[in-house]
Amino acid sequence: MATNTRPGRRDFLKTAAAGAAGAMGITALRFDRLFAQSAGGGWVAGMQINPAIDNRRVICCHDPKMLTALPANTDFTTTNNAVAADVVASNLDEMAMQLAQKATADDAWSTIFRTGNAGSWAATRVAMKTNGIGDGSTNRPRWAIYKKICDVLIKLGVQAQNIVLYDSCDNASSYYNPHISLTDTTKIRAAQVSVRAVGLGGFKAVTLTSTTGISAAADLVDGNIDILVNVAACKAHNGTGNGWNYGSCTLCMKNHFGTFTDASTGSHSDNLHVQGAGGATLPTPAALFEINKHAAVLGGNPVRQQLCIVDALLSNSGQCPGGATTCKNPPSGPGGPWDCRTDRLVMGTFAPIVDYLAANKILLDSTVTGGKSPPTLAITNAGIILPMFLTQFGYAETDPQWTEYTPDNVPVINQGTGGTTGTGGTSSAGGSSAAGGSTHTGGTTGAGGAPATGGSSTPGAGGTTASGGSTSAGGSTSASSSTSAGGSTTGGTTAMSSSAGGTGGAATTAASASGGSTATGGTSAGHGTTASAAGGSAKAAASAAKAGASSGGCSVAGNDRKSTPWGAVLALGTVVAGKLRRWIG
Amino acid sequence: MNRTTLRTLIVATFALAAASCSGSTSSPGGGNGAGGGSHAGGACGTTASGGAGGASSACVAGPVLDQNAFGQKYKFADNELSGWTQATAADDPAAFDVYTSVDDLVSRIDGEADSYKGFRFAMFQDLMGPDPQTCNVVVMDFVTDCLATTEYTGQQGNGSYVIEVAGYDDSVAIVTTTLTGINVYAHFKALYIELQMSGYLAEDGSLDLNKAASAAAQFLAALKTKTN
Repeated sequence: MATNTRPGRRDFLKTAAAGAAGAMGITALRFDRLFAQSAGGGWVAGMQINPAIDNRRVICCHDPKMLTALPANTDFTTTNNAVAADVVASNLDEMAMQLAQKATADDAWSTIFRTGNAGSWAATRVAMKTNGIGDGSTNRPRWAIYKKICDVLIKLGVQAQNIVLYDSCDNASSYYNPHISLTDTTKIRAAQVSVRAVGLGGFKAVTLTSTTGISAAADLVDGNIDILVNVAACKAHNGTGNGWNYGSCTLCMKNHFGTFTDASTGSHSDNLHVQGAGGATLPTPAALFEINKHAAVLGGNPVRQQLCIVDALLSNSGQCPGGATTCKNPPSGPGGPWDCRTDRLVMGTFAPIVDYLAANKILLDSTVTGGKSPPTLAITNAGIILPMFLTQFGYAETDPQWTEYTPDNVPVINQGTGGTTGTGGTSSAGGSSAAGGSTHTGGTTGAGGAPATGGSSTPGAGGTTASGGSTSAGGSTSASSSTSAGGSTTGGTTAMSSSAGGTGGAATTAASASGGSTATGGTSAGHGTTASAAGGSAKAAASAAKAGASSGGCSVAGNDRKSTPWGAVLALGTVVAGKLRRWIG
Repeated sequence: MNRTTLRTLIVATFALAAASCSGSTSSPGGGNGAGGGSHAGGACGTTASGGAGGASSACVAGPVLDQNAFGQKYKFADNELSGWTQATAADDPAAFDVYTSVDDLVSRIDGEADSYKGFRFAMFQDLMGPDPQTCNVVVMDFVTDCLATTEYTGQQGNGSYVIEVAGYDDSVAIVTTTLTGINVYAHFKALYIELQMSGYLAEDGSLDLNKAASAAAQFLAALKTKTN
């Protein structure tokens, strides 16, 4: 669902880590998408999985320290033993903060996970998809990820016995059960893995239009599971008839071939697989899309599938033997062992976009896979099928927002701290414009940071404040910009684009607020929390300072903003949206 | 076999299977070719079934075994190769299985099983060697030597390979490197074989190709013997 009022995808992606996600924020959401929600019956066009998180936002953390070393072999246990679980946990916290644009992990997780169970976390039931295909050397999601997510859920109040890992098709119990315990805090705190649908109420037939004879776990179909967490390993995937029919990958969406299955055979979901040999006759993987719109996955209120993670610490590149451009079946397909070290985790709320980006940014990028590429047909067919991941859900290739970062260059959180934080302005005599730097905060937000810097050159009023201007992010108003001498317009505009909603008008403080910190506010505004967003957190401040020092994303963000005349339009839309939301709400 | 030799990569364009299969459709089946015909369907071997005699260019059918017998014939007993034992069921519930159709194999390797269309039996065995070495052995009965060759040729594509393992010509076996070991592709008679071997990192983190190639040679030799 592309809109003609948005800048191109490339303009945003090229801004690297800091720029895109926050800059767009919720601002650019079309009203229909903003308000469209499933009535609990699965996907409806335009629905938001989480009203506080843009479906299009996907976070990728690249950190080689998540592995202590290259695993000595491809055995699942050996592989897991090479994972630095504490680093993974820490990175997942930061990724959640980036995804939810919150300054603390607790705030982030409580934004991502929502319970519809009368608000009772203790009664909330959680299912976590894993992957039991293959054998002891098959690449599958690492224990550390499940452990962290379970720890998060338990901290929210979920009972360990109400969390279950499952694969309704292949038996994953042997791979995970030894590392699961209801009480041992060093393990995955959850119930034992559900073998097929045993731990999820057994199978229940579902009716699909694209195929027949399919069942799914009854507790998912009947809505007895409140939260579904989808964790997939990062793997290339050939497909029936050597057709590379699934976008040449098996990630979060294809992972549900182990949620929906051909229950009668006790085997893999043959009926879900697409027949066809690819090329000109490449068929649309209709079942893949249908099950990912199904109420078992996207039904519920709140929506059941709330978090999608791709474990790309180690990936299956799909490369043919010897790097051949053609072959019948690469050894690293979904049942095979990992063959490349990619050192990444990917997180989002909306599986189609998570998959689209993970495939393009990891599996199909040989600079990420250590020079490995799938065969020519895989690349060709990915070019046909992957865009369907978007169009089938009403999105265009200009929509996805990929924010990739390394731990030493974490994008500044664009949470709504409102202008309060802002110090600057007034006191800021010139150079301090450094303030500007901090401002950069906006980084993402696009808060004016960058411009502010400029101000630096102009001691006194201008510069410093300028930052504020940007800050104003919220654009709430340009007001801010005006205030801020230096930063002026640039700031204002920018801010606007980034700061969603801005109603909160951080702007207010803009004048005084040195910085982009304020800008932040904007975003929060977009999330409707501006009001309370006052006072940037220490985290925000710290990051701001860090950002200022490094200057990295700051200037980029600024440039991007400058090249984004749509900002004002978007901000205006957001302001209106915000008002509408409050009015409706 | 030194490292330098092993690292001598060649780019090979393969077109070998066809040669040995040419004319197979018109030639009488080979040897003991019981039943081969019913499974044929590839470029060659369609007439492999039965028949007397057998010209030299004819496809040769493998022995006819049942599913269990096939698995027992080709699986490795513990320490059959010194230091190698089958992974325990607790570690790997799929440590040993024999599949009889593509649909059956889908349960292990997903839709990609279709790439092995034409096999009669497919044995998968996961072995643990001297720590941390592992080897996943795949042995598939393609009914005739021609079909096994065709499968091998289709799999090797046009890649670049480290070919010198135990003296096998690249028309019989190819070896590719992975991050922690090697993958071996081979065919003997009616068998198509894959070995996925990992755990061959040297202390300095480099790949110990000599050790990996040596182990691969042992596996191939043993499997070749089993075909007799």
